Amino acid sequence: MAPEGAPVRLRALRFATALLLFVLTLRLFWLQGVEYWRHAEGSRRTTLRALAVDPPRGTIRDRNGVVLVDTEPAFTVLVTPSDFDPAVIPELARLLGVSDSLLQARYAQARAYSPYRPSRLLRDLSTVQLARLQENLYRFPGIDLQLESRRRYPAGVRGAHLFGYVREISAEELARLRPAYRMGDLIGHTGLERFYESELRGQRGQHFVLVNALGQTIGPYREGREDEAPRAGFDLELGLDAGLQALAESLMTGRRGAVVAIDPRNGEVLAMVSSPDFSLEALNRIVDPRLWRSLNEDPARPLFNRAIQAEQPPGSTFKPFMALVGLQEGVITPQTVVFCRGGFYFGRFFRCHGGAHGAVNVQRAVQVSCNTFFYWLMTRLNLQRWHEYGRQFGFGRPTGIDLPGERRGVLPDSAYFNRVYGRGRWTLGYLVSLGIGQGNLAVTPLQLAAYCAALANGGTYYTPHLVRRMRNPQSGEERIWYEQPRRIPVDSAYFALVREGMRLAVEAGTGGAARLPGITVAGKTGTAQNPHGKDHAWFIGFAPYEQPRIAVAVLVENAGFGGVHAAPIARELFARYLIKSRTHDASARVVSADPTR
Amino acid sequence: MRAVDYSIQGRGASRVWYVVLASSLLLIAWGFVALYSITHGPAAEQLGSAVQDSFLRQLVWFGVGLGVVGGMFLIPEELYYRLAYPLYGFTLALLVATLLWGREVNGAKAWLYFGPIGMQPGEFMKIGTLLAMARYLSGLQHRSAFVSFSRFRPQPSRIQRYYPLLSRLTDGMPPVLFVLLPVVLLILQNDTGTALLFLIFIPALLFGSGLSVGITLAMISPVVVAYAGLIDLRAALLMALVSVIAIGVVEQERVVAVLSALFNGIALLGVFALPYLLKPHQVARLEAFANPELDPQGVGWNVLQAQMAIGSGGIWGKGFLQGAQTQAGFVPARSTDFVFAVIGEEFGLVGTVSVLVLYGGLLFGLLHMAERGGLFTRLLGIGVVSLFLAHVVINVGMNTGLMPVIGVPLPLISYGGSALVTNMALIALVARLYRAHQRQLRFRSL
Repeated sequence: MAPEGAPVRLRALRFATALLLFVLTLRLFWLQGVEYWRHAEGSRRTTLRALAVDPPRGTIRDRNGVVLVDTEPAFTVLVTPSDFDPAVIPELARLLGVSDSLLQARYAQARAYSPYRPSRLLRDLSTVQLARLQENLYRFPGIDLQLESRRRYPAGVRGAHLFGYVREISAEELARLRPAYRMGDLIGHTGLERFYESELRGQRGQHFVLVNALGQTIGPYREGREDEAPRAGFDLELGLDAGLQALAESLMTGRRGAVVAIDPRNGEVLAMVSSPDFSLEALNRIVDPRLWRSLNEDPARPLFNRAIQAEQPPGSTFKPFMALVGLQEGVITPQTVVFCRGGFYFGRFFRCHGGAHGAVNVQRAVQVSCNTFFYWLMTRLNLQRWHEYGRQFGFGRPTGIDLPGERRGVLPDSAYFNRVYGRGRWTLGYLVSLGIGQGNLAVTPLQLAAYCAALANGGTYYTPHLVRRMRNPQSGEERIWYEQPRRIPVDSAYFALVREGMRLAVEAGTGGAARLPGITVAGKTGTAQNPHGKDHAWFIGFAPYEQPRIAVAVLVENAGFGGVHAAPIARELFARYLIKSRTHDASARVVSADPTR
Repeated sequence: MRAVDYSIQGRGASRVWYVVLASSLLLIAWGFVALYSITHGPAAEQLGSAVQDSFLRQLVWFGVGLGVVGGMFLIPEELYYRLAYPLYGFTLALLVATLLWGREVNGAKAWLYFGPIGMQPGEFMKIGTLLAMARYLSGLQHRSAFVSFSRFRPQPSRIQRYYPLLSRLTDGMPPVLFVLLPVVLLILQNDTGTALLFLIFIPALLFGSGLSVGITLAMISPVVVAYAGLIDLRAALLMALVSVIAIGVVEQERVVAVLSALFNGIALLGVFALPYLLKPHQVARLEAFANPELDPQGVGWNVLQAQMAIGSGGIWGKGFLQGAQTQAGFVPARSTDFVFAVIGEEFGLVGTVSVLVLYGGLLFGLLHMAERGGLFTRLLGIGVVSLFLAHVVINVGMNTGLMPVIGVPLPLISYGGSALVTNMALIALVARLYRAHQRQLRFRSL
């Protein structure tokens, strides 16, 4: 029996108990009911981390299915700055065998990018680096390893300018391309890698993981149900012929210049070489600044893609074009004869080469490359009309090839002369040299090759292109290159005449070095005058003459006469591409090509 | 307020017995659920094996606790009264031994090891202290009738007619001493959290034995004012004023009101001067409590993470073993101080409120028993209830951001063998004596 008064005291305690528990309950209703969304969001942010899953970059194959560029797995070191103690950088650098300053710089970048998201610290670990780091990973909170991929060039084709290199995205690009790209993402910087960046790259996926307070991964979030799968990029199929490309590369080794081979039936580029080149392998990892400097400061400019960027006067390779314009414009007929006395006088004396050719008609003029004929012809042509024909043949404007950085060359018209010399301050005499492809005229090797292809197929201009088909390995989607070719407004009879002249030029003219037994080759040599040194050697040609399957433009800089230095290279290419018996021979050469050169 | 008189053993009596038993067991079960999630959840492999073993260790301690409780029901009830002082002496000796030979864990030299078995005598001390205080205060009963005059004699109001046990304030001195002794020892061990909790015995038991409302308020109000002062000084000032006036109205002795004003003033000044008195990390902790968003990565981190964990649980929680926040170690000390956050995150409002309801059941059940037991039982009940209540309020308060972070476990739920056994014994103590009282109503009033 409780004594009187006792309940009162206990009631006070009971009241206090009820009140305090009630206050706590209210607080819980507030936290878990009212503020739920705020906390749920905050909790997601701190415990979930989205890891980017990059799809493997699309591969690049040649016309026969030979894999030119693909990917191989490589490990990347990731750093999450908020969990990482920068004091251990020297230790980490020692472990990985890289310089302290490199890691410091990369860490600072990562920190600036995001303190809470993992960024790439170092790519493409070697086996030794990987093993060392894996053993010691526990000592470096905030450091993770990620399996990624890197570019590989299994075919032994260098293709330095053609394929281009991928590099980590620069700060400026990142500022422009966020959030599609993250720091350390690879992006195509040159060549096909750049031009087809969006197709090759695919779409990044996300893998959500739970992390603990140390930033270490505990496991997948909701068994990966929220993950977004990466979407693969397209595989590119080129019109390129791996064997031909490798041969062209080996032929150009030690020379400065460019080679472009095009299939005249459709404009597919069969080979494209610029020399000197560089090793893509060396540029696809984190680049040693010394290597980068040496590539940039080399006077031979190895990073410069001569095939689409070198602008040189076409020299005598321009003469077939001159002949076609003259014939189509009615200024000359096939029978028109000009008597060559070894030069042409128009205000001053313009020299022909190899003495006097005597009486030459247009076909003969192409065959023997008579300057006099074309000097004369140029003085008879309307500059504006001539310019329009030139554009029809693809001069003075980009061809539209699927590569970045193509130059347009120079194809003058009166406006151009007015701009350069001033209105009324130039005369017809300024134009005479244009007739033999000199003077204020510049073309790229690619433009010449496309022009040569149009000559070969009798007047159809195809836009030269590298990729002829792309296929998405995941979705199966296929895209095929298709562009309506352009018919050049010149009679096919005139084309036949000029082609015959080019055949004779190889048979019994300046291009004799391109002759092949069993195959009829047509071509035209050229020599671009170079005020700074030795002349540049040109050769354009196609084969077989009857039904051309390959058209070639060769530029060898500072070599001298085109018939001597450029034409033999074209001959090797014709042989490799057209004569099956030589296939093994050439592919052997491909394999033995020294990858470190 | 008394609806039914359960004083005669009947259905109601057994019902309260079951309420206490069931809520105790369910709270312990909550503890195991949370501990399993922590030690065997998805994050388990990141933990050391010692942590993973703690689930089993706690099970063993639970077994020990059951044994202790069983044993307690075999001991004659008289012995509790008789052995109160020796037990107090024994636990105090353990505490001294800890100070001498104890092992330091997390900065507090609170652990005493017997071979591989470690225990915290500070927990057992709670039983000793409570028994000694209850014994002394209930012993005053026989003397108080003869007290004729005291300056501090309580007001002869309806309230004050109840047990004028403390007819002289000096009678309150020994119980205060009983508390202060272990508190000093615990502070020397650097176990401030446990020490602070002992202080709750003083107002609770003295009030329970008849200390005037005014004096009790005067004791408690400085603490509340100081707490309020951490959050908002103006509110604290207002509180201090209100409590002083209230004491002045309730309490006839002016001295009490004046003293209360003095203590409240000291508390306010103390809060103001705290930055100069405390060590920097302690100040930072207090500031982080008052304003956790100021430095979310620093000291306020624990507080924010725990709140975020509980808040993100929502109504139904994220599910057993799915508490990303607590699993991932964002919430510190999640098996002890922040175990409530684990429950809150994984079981949501349903889980947390059910825990509070179970505490309500346990505490009200114990109060019911206290009300119907003898004087000794009643004082013990008041002590146990106020001790548990203080633990729950401070622990849940710091988990939900209402209180500064003081290392106080959640009774019956938090991991810790000594605390589990102690808490089980404390409940059993009240239940045991209540039962004895019910069986033998004529039993000398303890």
